[in-house]
Amino acid sequence: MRDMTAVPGAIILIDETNAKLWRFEEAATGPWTTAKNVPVGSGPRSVVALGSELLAASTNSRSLTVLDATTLAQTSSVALGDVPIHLTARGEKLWVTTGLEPADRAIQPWIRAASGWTRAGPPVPAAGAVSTAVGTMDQVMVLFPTVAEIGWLEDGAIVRREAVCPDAHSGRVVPLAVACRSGGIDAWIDGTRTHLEGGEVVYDVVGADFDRDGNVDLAGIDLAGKQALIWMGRGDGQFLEPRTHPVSAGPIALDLLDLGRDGDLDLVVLAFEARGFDLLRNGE
Amino acid sequence: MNSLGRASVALMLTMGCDDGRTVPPPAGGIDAAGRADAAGDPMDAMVFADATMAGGLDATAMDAMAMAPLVPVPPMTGAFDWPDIEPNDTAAQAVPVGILEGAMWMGFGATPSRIATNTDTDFYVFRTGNAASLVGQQPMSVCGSQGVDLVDLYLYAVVNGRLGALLKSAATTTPSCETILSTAEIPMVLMPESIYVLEVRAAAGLMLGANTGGYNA
Repeated sequence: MRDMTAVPGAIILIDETNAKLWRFEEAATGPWTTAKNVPVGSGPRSVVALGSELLAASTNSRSLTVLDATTLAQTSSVALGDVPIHLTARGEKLWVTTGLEPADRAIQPWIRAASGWTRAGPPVPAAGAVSTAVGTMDQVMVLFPTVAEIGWLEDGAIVRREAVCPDAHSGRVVPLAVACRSGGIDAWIDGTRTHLEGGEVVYDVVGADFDRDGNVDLAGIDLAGKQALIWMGRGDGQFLEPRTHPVSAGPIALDLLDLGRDGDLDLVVLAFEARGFDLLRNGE
Repeated sequence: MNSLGRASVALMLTMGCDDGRTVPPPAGGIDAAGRADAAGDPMDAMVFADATMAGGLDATAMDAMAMAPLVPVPPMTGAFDWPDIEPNDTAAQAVPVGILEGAMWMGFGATPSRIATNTDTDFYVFRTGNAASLVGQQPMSVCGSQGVDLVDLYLYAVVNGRLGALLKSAATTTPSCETILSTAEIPMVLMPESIYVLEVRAAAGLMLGANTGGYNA
């Protein structure tokens, strides 16, 4: 298990060993159920949800598998021509980080057209990049962790490179934030980078207004401390000290979902070593 | 968010792992590339390793040890990642990953861990924590991601900073996973506060074709 994504009422997990996607569904009562699983391309590595679709990138088959998010029925397959290592999607757009070796990395822009997914431009060279994150205005951040930098993808080139925490691992939207394997997270508030302390080895981060006070809050997962961290936003660009909540061993991925459809955003944590996921319900 | 209610869901994914039976590697010694094979049955290798650690070596064994490559010293931090950083084709180039805690973590880095050719091999060097830390560990398994018999595994002792005897191997011909140590075997085979080398070797007869040979743990 390396990646997951949450869709309404369900969690989608990648099973690399068996080259499958699994869909776990929230039951009205009782435990979550394994509703279904389907094969995808060999070596699945990254999955994103985009409306009613799922996109799964597979390294060995160098392809994208496009599936219905509810039925997991495959609707199409897209050849990428290179090894995909990460996907980011927003609206009708998709950015695929490709290249087995760091020196060969590039960002492929794709767009969903009436005829299906088509290339939106040539690959953008991005040596050393590991992933991208896309903001609410479609600004695309590219992470270069080994040199502790990010860059911004604009007009087919990577511009405005700036410093970020060492070993930045993953980036998310609202606001743009990256998890730091060196501890804490970096967040861009009104265009200014702020480092928030917390945790020893932070693997993933998400942002949302958890308490519905109009301020953006942030959540991260700390691999070493086996905990989720919640930074509540004050609304002035500052955050309170993080609250911590224990999670199962090996937390590697985090996502938002609305458990029970009560309107509150909750958290799901994929725990690699525990071979399961934790559901952290907001307000309890 | 004033508080969080937590519920855990265990996954019942079929890992497709083999039964962990061992297959002796080819007889050998230590070749020019630094790839080490102990001759004969793995149990013989175990006896040899015990003798080595007890200091009861004959002249031949002493010579062999002196010729064995020095391996990098793993850090005293947790082995959260086992990145496949090339070149790591010999024990002397083994990736130092830290202290075995919970489970091996392979394939989490930006560059997928992989067997690049039909004869590729990747070495990792790790250390163990105290005796209590060896109990209840996840099995030491490595899984390929293309449904073929991708890798074989070899576990070696490290003695005086040099590659020591082969302790165990896992070289089944079933696809997907190899398990070199089960949860129960880990505290029986691994000594606390010790250093070991794990070799992830292309399975015998591997025909990768156009695949990239990705593996993970």
